[in-house]
Amino acid sequence: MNDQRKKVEDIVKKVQKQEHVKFTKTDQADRIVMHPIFGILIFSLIMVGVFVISQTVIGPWIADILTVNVIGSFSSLVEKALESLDTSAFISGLVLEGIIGGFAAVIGFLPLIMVLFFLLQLLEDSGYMARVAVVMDRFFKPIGLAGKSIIPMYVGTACSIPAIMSSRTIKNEKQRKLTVFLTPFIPCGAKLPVIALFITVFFGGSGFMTGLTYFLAIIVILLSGYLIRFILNADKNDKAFDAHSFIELPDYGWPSFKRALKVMLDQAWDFTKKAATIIILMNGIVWIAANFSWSFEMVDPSESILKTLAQPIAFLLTPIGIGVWGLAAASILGFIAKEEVVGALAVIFAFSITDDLGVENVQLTHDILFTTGGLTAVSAYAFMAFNLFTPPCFAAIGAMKTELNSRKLTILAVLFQLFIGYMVAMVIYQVGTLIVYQQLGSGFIYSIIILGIVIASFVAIKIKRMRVIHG
Amino acid sequence: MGDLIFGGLIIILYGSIIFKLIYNLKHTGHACACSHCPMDLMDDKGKIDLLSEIEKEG
Repeated sequence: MNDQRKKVEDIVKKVQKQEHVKFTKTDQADRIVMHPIFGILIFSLIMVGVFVISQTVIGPWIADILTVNVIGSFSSLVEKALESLDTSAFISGLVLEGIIGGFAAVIGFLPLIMVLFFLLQLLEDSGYMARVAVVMDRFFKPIGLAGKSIIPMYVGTACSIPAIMSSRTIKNEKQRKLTVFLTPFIPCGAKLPVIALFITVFFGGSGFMTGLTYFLAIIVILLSGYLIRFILNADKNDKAFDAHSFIELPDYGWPSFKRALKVMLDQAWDFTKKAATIIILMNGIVWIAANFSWSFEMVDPSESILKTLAQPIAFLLTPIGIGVWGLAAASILGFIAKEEVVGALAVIFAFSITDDLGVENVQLTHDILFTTGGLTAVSAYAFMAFNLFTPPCFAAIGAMKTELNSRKLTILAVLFQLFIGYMVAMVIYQVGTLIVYQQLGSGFIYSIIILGIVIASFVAIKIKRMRVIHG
Repeated sequence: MGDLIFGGLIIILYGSIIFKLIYNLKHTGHACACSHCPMDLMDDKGKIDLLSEIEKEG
């Protein structure tokens, strides 16, 4: 490939006549927007701006008008009806906490998500996102991803399923499989309520922290790519690491508000359908499992079926700061649909943040998650990272299986994502606790042992691979 | 009385959700139902016949 390119460049130099090239305004803008350093800075500023507008300015304002009033009024209306009809504790609890409470916790963040998708669509329409692909290509190429990999990653901000499927456009097999492995690390629309909940409750709804979470996702993708390259002992001359990207750059233009509005409403409709079906069903099951014992008597959640099931997993999650059964249960339920993490937390810990995104209610939710869930700002961020970077929902895993066309590779991809999610959360929790609170996090010794085992395993795999390669 | 009314409503709600999910699963192969999901266009082998899909759309 390199020799061929060199020959072509030599021929071009011989036959091409260099004339004075006049740069258009687009060329001049591109030189700044796609600059290796300024390009990243501009992208960072734009994305932080998008998150500030969607999460702290317009989003909560629309949430207050639409969701809060509608859901709040509906909830109090049902509550009065339940009281006046003298309904049993089981039915009242299931309706108010299980169905309405869980649904409201998820759907309450919808306005924030709608504004985000509207702004992203405006950016795409303006021709800017294609330039971001060029900026990111410089970082993706060294780890073996194609420039085209940015397309699945961008699609992945809405849903991982079409994102994984759009990797079909990548011709190189290794790049395509690597893209399928890494694309689910981009937070999809279903993960947005998880981000919105924890950033609102523990970080005052900071747009900067939301932006930081997306940058963390890009860093996780890059580090995971390097890790795979290290394990596979990839040859630098491998075609996958020397492939060139051709990205068509559209002209800059005024975005279409009508199209952005349509995309936003489509996303909102899909989100509502999912919340009104899978999430409501799951929240009902979670509420019953969290309020009944194995002998099917109503009990305190600390003696419930859900606690018995989630407790062993909670023990395994101690090194990442979430060794509480309720948090472990929410994480497991997130594999069905990531929005369910928020729904399950609202049902298990009985909070209703989206009834009112005001300061008092946010503080109340913070106090509940702090006292009952044991979450600090650092462990909350670790919990959020764990849910963002562990495998996506079952439907997306199904899409991964279709694209990888191998059960073995799919299992490997899921285990790899589970490993990355665990390690990222563990590092955030242990290092964050040490820096922010100047103390050791719970399960510190276990985390050191885990880290030691991981490093030793990688070294062993690397040595084995090198022995195989060198005979 | 309250248990009967709300219990009945819960059964209807969950019954229709389960029916909807099974219906989606049977017709598309997956339970979630996002508009324009490319998974809907795939056959059993994971292949997409775009031409037939365009013809279907008319």
